[in-house]
Amino acid sequence: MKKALLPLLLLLAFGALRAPREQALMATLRAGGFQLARLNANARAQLGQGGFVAALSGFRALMADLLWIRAGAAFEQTAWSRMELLLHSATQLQPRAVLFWEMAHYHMAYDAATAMRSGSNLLPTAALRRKAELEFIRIGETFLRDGLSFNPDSSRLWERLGDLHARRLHDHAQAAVAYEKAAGLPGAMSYLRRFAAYELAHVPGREKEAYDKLRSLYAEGQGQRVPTLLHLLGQLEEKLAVPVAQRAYTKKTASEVSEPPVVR
Amino acid sequence: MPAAHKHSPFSLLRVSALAHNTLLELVRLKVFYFLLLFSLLVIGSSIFTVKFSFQNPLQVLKDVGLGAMSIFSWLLGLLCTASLLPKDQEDRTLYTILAKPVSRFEYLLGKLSGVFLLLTLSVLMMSVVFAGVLGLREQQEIIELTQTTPAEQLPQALETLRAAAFQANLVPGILLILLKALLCSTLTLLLSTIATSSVFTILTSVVIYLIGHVQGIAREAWLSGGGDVSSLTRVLSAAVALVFPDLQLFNVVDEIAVGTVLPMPLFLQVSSFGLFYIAVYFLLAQVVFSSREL
Repeated sequence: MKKALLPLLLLLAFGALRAPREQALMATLRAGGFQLARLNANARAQLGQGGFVAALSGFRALMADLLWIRAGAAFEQTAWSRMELLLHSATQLQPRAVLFWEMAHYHMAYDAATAMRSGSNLLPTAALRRKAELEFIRIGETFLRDGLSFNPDSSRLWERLGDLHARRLHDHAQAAVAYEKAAGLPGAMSYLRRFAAYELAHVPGREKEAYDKLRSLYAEGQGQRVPTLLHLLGQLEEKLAVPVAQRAYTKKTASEVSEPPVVR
Repeated sequence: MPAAHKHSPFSLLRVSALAHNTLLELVRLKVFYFLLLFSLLVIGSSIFTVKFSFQNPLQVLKDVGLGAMSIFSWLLGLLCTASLLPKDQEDRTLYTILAKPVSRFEYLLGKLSGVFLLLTLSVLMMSVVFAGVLGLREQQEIIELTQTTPAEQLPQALETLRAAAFQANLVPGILLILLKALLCSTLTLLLSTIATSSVFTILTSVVIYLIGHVQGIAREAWLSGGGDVSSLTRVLSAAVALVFPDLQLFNVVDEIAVGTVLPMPLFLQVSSFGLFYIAVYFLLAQVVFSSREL
């Protein structure tokens, strides 16, 4: 008994010594973007007992991949609600995987939402179909916002949020904010600053602000003078009644101003 | 009269001889070949299994490879260490060695060093196969991309692809997988100095491995649970946090695999924590083993 007591006491003393340090190290790891996964009841339901234990035992990424593959099967069967649950669990298990959040939002806000609108879910009225479509668009938005809470420096996720506001929710002010944010982050695409200005041009009352941004992009040189930018400059110069001598865009034909160009 | 050789209480030469012999013994075990071959097969065959994946082939390949490395290095360490002392006792080698001027400390250190060498070699082999498989898959993806992507989008697409393939930042993650396996082996050695059968050692070690991954939850409930945690829960949580190691600290490779960079100071911090664990568990094993009646 005495022999067992000494190692046990040493083990407890070691435990008391390391516990606060472990706590501090875990906090540092979390601040660095590690150990952020949330193993909640939904993940447990999707994984089953064995899978949940495996996820807890250091095989979280593998379990996330498994759920991701199952989400792929649900996609093929167009089982949107099941797909949402699986995507939710996969993203919670691997919250630093930007692609998971990006694709999860896309499948919900575009694929599932379009399926709702087209009536493939057998909803009887157009109003109900539109309501279901909006619900899935909002689910997609939630995926993006959750993804951004784990990956705030991901230019790709901010860009997708901008796309969602611009194309699905038609909230151009929010889209401009998201594109602006995306443009300022590392690895940002060169067109994002233009996109932010384009969206601002569609917000009533902010035409002057948009014009200034477009003008400053135009001044950067040929690389920024793409058809959409020129087209919007022309439209805004007309709208804001900019004196002809100060205009950047010279209208050649009426169709150039009125018809939207293909290239952005 | 020739001068008598002075016996030093600790000799690195004796420890390295024991480590070398242990390594040879372990390499001859069938379980070593079985586990190593199986792990290499799993890592190698993941190049085919990624075909079932959904939009994310390189990520799945990395997760399968790193997961296989993690589980097989742990299993290998567990099975090899658990059989060390019982086997030496069974075939009387332990008594032959300790009858010579070899201290129990040297014996234990030599045995553990042998296991460490085996694990290091195994993880190295698995890493080479893993990097090879990933590189092969990357080449396949590059060929596909070159054929299907428009020329102006190709540089960007290739850059994204290369970022998802084998990167130098995976190396610290793999080193931490090895460190976790070494830590679990030391813990198994501590258990085997207490236990009398290897089955008990293996089962207890597996349970500790599982609890070690949720120890952080218990520690948080104990240290920062606040008023909503009952006294009983707090006492139980404290017991778990004090007795079991936090193995979750070493699971950073999942995040590294998706591109999160592990800064060098943080890597050193986690590594030194692991080495500290190993040193303490080894010393505890020595305390138990030195007082054990053989």
